[in-house]
Amino acid sequence: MENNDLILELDNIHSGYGEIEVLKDISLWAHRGQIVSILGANGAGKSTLLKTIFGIVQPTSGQVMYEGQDIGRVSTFEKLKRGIAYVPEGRSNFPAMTVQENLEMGAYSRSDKKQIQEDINNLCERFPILKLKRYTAAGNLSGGQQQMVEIAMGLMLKPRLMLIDEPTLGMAPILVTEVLNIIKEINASGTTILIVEQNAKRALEISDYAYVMELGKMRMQGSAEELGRNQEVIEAYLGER
Amino acid sequence: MNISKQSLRPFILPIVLLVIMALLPLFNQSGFTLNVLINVVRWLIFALAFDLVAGHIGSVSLGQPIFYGIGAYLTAYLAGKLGLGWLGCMLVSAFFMALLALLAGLAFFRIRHVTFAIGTLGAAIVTQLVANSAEKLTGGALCTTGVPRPQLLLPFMESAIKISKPIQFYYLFLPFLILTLVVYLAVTKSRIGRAFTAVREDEVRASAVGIYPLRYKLVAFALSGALIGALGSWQAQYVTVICPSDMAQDITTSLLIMVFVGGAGRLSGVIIGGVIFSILPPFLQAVGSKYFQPAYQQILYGLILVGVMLYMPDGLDGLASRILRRFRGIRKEGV
Repeated sequence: MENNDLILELDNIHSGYGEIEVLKDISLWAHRGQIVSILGANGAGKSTLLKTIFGIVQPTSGQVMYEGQDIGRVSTFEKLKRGIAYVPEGRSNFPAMTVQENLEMGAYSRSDKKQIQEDINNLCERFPILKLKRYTAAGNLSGGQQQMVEIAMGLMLKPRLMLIDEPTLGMAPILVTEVLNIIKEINASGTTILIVEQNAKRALEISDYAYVMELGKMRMQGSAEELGRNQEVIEAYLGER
Repeated sequence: MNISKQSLRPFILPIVLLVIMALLPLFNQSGFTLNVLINVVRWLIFALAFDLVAGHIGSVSLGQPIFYGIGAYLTAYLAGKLGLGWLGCMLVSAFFMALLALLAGLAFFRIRHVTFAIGTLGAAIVTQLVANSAEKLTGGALCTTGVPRPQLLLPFMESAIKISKPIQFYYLFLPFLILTLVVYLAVTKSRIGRAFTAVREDEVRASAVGIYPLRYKLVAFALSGALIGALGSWQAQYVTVICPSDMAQDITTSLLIMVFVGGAGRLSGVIIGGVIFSILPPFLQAVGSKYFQPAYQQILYGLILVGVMLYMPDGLDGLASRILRRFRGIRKEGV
């Protein structure tokens, strides 16, 4: 598919930690405005894939293209500047800092102080829970609320591409819905989303396109609809027979 | 009003402390008092520098005495053999210990948590052993002796004063504590301090907002090394003797207890811990070495440290602010 609404393109990526190769020959595409999900079991290499795209883990070979440019050697700081946000998995805020301070940290790579405060105000309007807990230490929030803070930290950079790692991990079903709705809403306002999920069923509900990883390799790909009907996916990941 | 009150708060305790310390010798100039005061200054500088790494970036280095010892030996050479002045010695020691910290940091920050602590502890032990056996360089266990005392020459003076009395040392030493406090506050209350906290709390998240963990760890480590190197340089010129045992592990034990009992990563905590545990030992020993032998001190310190880690993770500072908050809460309810 040769067209210029391609925002992210991975070609034959190999990556890992030291001697251990985690990702083997991974290729992936994301189009502007899509939600693309990466599914797979524990240890499939999903998180490593996001880390490789963001540059916390360096690929040993292959190419990462973002908006038509090779960003394989670009620093993470520069990636933030170019509009890529990364939301790590788990409770990945700064628990001792307040929500306000966490959001300020989200904008660490920016220097426009006034605009930062304005953006925080806007986010608080958009997500009332942030307003309510604005001066509470993030560590005292519930799991779902913390996840909101983490996503909001990513939004502080007004990203064009957001990499989100397991946002619903360990959450009650009702919170999962809430978090996924927010992700959908962010997407609707123009941000392309690449999301890693173990909860395949819920992820497929909001995705346009999905990839299935297994042991560091791409196993399957297709539109969310196709994969949702695929017998193999249903048996292996959707827990139905 | 509220905001200005808030932003002034961190300065209150250090200013009160400095005023008391500056005025105390006017009332009591006994050798004991001065000795205790110099002890307090030395330990506070050491503890603040230690806390920059342990409290703010969360890497507990048990090797900080290395910078102290090498800074002291370096000064013995610079002042003794090359005739460099006291301030020059401190600056050169600070510079080279910052450099050493950078290089050591590049190696040691590849490991973290407990392995980092053990690794730096190993480095400290090895350094002490080397100092012990490199007799030609350090005098070995017989120590390096005869480090020249500082000479102070100010523009309006006709001839330099040789600093040799404890009171002179004390007042020349106090500005160094002020400088350390200023550096500590300037770093930890700034943008860099926030990055330190981010690195301490979650390295991956820090990377996600554009902070390079290694870079800030190295900044903290180098700064700590520079301050401790200058302190070692000062100590060499004060006592004029440097022995391998000056970088022994009991220094690290004392630092751990000061910082963690006081409250790691908080200026008030480090000040509380530093003052208490630098005043306590000389007093206990003065009360009677019959009851309190130095060997017991280490055992007692060990027990206190374990107790604090288990039951008071925020240290005395955290305990104090919890009590304060409760008092305020009661008062508010009462009104």
